[in-house]
Amino acid sequence: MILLAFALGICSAQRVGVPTDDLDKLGVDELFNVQVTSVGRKAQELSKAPAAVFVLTAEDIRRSGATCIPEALQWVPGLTVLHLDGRSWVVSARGSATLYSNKILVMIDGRSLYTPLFAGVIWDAVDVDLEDVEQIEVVRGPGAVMWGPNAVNGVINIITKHAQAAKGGTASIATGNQLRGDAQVRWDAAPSEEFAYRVWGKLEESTPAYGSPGYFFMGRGYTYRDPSVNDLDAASGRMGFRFDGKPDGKDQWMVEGDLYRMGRHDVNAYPLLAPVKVDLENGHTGYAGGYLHGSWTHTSSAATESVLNFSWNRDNLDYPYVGGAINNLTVDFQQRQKIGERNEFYWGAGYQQYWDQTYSNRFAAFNPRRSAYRVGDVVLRDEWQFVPDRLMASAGIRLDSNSYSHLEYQPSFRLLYTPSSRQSVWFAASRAVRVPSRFDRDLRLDDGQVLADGFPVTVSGSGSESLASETERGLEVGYRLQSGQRWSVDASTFWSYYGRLQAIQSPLVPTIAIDGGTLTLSEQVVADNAGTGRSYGGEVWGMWQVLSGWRLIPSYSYLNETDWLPASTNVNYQWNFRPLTVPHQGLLRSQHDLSRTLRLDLTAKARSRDLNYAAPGTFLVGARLAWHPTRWGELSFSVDNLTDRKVLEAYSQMPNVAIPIRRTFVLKWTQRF
Amino acid sequence: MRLRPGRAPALASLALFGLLVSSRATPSEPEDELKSAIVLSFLRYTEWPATASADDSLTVAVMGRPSLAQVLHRVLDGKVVNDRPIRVIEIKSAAEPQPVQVLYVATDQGAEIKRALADVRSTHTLTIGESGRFLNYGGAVNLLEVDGHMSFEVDLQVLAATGVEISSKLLRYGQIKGKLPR
Repeated sequence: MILLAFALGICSAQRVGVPTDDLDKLGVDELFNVQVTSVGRKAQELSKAPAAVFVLTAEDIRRSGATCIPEALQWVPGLTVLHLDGRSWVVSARGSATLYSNKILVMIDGRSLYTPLFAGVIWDAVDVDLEDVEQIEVVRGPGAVMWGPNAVNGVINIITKHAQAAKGGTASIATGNQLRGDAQVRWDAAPSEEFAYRVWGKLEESTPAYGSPGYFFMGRGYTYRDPSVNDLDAASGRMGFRFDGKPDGKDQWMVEGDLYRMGRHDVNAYPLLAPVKVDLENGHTGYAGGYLHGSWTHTSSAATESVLNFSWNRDNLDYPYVGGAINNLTVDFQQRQKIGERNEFYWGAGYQQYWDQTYSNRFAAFNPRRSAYRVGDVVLRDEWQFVPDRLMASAGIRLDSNSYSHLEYQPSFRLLYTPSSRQSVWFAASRAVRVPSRFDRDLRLDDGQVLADGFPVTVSGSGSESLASETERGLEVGYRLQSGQRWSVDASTFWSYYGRLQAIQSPLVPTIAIDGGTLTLSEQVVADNAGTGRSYGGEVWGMWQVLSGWRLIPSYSYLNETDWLPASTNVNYQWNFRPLTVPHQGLLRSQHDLSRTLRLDLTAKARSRDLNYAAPGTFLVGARLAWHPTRWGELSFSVDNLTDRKVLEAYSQMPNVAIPIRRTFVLKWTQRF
Repeated sequence: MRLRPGRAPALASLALFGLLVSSRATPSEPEDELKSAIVLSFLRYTEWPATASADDSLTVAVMGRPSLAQVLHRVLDGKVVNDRPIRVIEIKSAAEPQPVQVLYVATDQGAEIKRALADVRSTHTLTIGESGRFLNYGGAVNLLEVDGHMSFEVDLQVLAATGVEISSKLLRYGQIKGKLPR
């Protein structure tokens, strides 16, 4: 405490780099070269948030050369983003990193992408035109009161641009070794002051496999290796729109939606007799669907603002093993009201209905095949300025009543101390839950046979309707310092305790039956809430504007994650699929404006060895060079993994494949008109 | 840091922090700093038709966002450009009977912009705005962000009508709209 106070004292006394002193001495050329987003801007409002927030701006995303959202997210400090097969990704914060990471919530413009079918985000089905993204806000740590359930370890909030933001058209084409072709077109127009629209379309084809080995994690510490994976080709088409309206000074509305279709080739390994025999099969996955999302904001006075959100999406998922049509409908209302000088009160209520109809191809099935899930919620939150602009406290609670686990409560308490506009200290204590999904409750799996003392035992797995929500209780502390336009530092630490983590249990001895004269052994594995865990760690990142056209963004994060299962003499407790735990991660981005028309970006990424699967540590570098011959066009060339390190970053879940990364490049032309 | 006596006990635990806070910086958008510096370069690279006025100061009138006015004051007040001192004034409407060299319209309300522009029509005033439709309403220069850098668009026709001339040294950084009348 004393050290911290001491540091604060030093910093407020120095007040390094008052921005105006630098800026008005710049020449005209330099002035128009200063990055507007340098050290803050949007992030500045967020610098007043009592949470571990990071903002990836549109400029950051463009400069990263990312071709999809997870690629852009690699550059967010504290996130673990791992490549699986060039289509699917592991994206997680502060631990619990698996395919479809189930403890992180992802939203686009406030619409949740977290699917109640799998508990997690189907990243390969998430696609937006990255040119449309205004910014991506990533909040690490529990955010249930603000965002809803399943925001246990973090929230990724993708915000798209208003249709008013750009006028005219943009078209881009890209090609490379993995991304074979990508074409995007969009058109923005504002026919009147009250109304603006955007329409867009996108086609993409990629070929991530390159004859490398493929790895299948089959459970019980056993991995199957396919010597050569050659066809994971994927193609997708998508079109969408966004309408924005501002009928008067007090109201604002937005409607957006899209339609998409995607197809891809897969290779899957199904368990037959572990650890001797698997059934390797080529398959096809198809996705098709769309969504509609509307929101209406009414500002009746400076003190009162109400927001009404409605969204509906329908997706048809057809995997080689299981498929179905899923629907999700949400309605949500929130109101912010200033009560007196120092008090701001928020309340909200929402309703979500999810329903699906599934079928089984092989290996996996849902029982019952059709299901519906309903949840209603109420949120109350109060923000109180103890000392205006200095000390703020916020307390809130979210209550959810759902058709699986009934009542859930998720409280949060936060404190923010802002001794000056340049620095802040915050503290948070929260509880958050991860609600069981349809997958957790109703799944039936055919796990093939396992050799036990030379005898084959037939294993079948099933979910459990008695599963309760996984819980997290967490404490966080953070500190931010911003020095004008020159540099900023943001540090946070966390400590979390997890209860009722999902695990599986099986009997100690197999069931013996005599079936038509033959002896059969079988084992039933059932999901339960036997696990417990705790994690602690921290993240620190900075931004340093070295020169007016050169910026460095370093970051480092540390994670210590442990989980344990009870000892038992009656049943055998096991983890189903353990998360990838990467204790040390470091990132460095350099954004350099070489001249008015040339921009160079260099990136470096270092990661230590994963503790649960021993996926190796890596050091990867990348580069991107962009040339703007005119104000309206940009030609860029980007290379990822320059040294062509072929490392396996993560393991997927059965029966999906994971392949090592390789050097990839993308050549892209963007033209505005 | 001033505290009402009644509140002080509740904050005893934070006294250590409070003591260390020396001065209170005004919160401002870094973007406004940049905009103010750009206004300064417009003052440097612009020529106004000679007037008979005895007052030789360059007056920048700003209406709209008070936060921007605050930054403009800080950046521009007391500076001298081409031997002319700069003065920043905040106005509620442009109809005030005072000749200004630059009118900065810091709002995106269409009606307000239109009214402000109408009030300075047929005066030698360089109008600068920051709304997507500023040029459509008849403004001369609009500041905007392109690819994470500040830029501006300028309507040469509107500019010519005011008699104000911006040096090509500055114009080449902007996007030119409208043709120069022959």
